[in-house]
Amino acid sequence: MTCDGLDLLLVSDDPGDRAAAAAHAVRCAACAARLRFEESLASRAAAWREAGEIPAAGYEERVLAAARAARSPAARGRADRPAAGSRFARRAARRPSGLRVGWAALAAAAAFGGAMLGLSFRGPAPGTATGGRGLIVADALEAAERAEQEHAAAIAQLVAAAEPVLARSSDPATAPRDAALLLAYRDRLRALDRTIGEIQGHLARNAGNPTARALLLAAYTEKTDVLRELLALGAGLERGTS
Amino acid sequence: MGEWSDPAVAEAYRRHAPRLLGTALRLLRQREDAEDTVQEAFIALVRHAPAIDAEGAGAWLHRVVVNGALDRLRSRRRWRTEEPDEAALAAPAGTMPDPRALDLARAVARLPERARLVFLLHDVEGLLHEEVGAALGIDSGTSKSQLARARALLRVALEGRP
Ligand SMILES: [Zn+2]
Repeated sequence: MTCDGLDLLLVSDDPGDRAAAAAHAVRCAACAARLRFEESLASRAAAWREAGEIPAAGYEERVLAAARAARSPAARGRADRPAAGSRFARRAARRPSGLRVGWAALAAAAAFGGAMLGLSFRGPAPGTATGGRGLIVADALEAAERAEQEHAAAIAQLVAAAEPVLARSSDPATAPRDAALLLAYRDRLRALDRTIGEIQGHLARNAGNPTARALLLAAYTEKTDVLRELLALGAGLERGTS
Repeated sequence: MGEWSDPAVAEAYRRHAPRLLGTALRLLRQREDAEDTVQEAFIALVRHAPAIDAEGAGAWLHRVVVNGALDRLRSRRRWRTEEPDEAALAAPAGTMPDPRALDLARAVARLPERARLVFLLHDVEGLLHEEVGAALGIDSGTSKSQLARARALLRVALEGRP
């Protein structure tokens, strides 16, 4: 490489590119000085990240009280109405074909999420932390949150069952083709988790955003399906090896 | 997994709150907004993340705080033009006992806004270019070029040479 290419190598996320930059710097004094600066910058950045910030007096109490209120029976007052949440969850789980959102579309939605979910659905009163909440009937919001919790609980069980299956990707007894397939499932699940995290991030700011809620339920449904496929695959591998 | 109990939330707060506040303050440069953003992340944890366990909570909260802070920056930009005031530039966020981190914070405060955000998200908060791009609504190539620009400006500021 030439010195001109150093910039691109230094900002790359690929460790191979950084190694190439280091290899060049061994033979080039100007780039070696540049590399030393980048290293000192990285260590300053790490020091800044680790420094943290001492919370103001009373802040801990405020946060813990808010968290408690967010889950208390008073805040979730309508939770004991006849299982609207369960109906919602079952409907989502049945997944009418027209409503299914593929995982790639979900990932794309999340990729645009910063712009799309963050901007398009902001309520008319900017700066109010709970802006969107008044826009949706409390009952519907409650039902949606319960449905999401049911999904999350079911998924956690599936994830626990799927872990040993995924672990077989690094088992030398697993055929390379099967191992590659398992790794593809792992990547797909990771992508879905990132998507779910993005959407949850937006819901944290605007709980009443109906599009984000629909996307989240679709993402949960998709993750449930992927986990079921993976478990079926695991059972197939089991039969194949015994 | 399951519900986040009061003691579990308190433990998560003790483990993660200082760093989360640091992240929010770096991005927002406004203490009240930063505190609200972190508080909302803990509310979200209780409401929306029953499947997140104690080990995963730090990364999850960090992500929610980053997204929440960026949302706030966006709405600030939409509704008023925000110039960081001189006080914020002179006394950047963070307790920072490390003087090298303090120098960096001062230099970062003077970067153009997009380069500042890309540098913070990538080099300080640890996001990949793809994630930075998604968070800021730019492509990952733009994230890379903005990062190169930010680092070049920081080199001038910190070392007095290009
Ligand atoms: Zn060179």
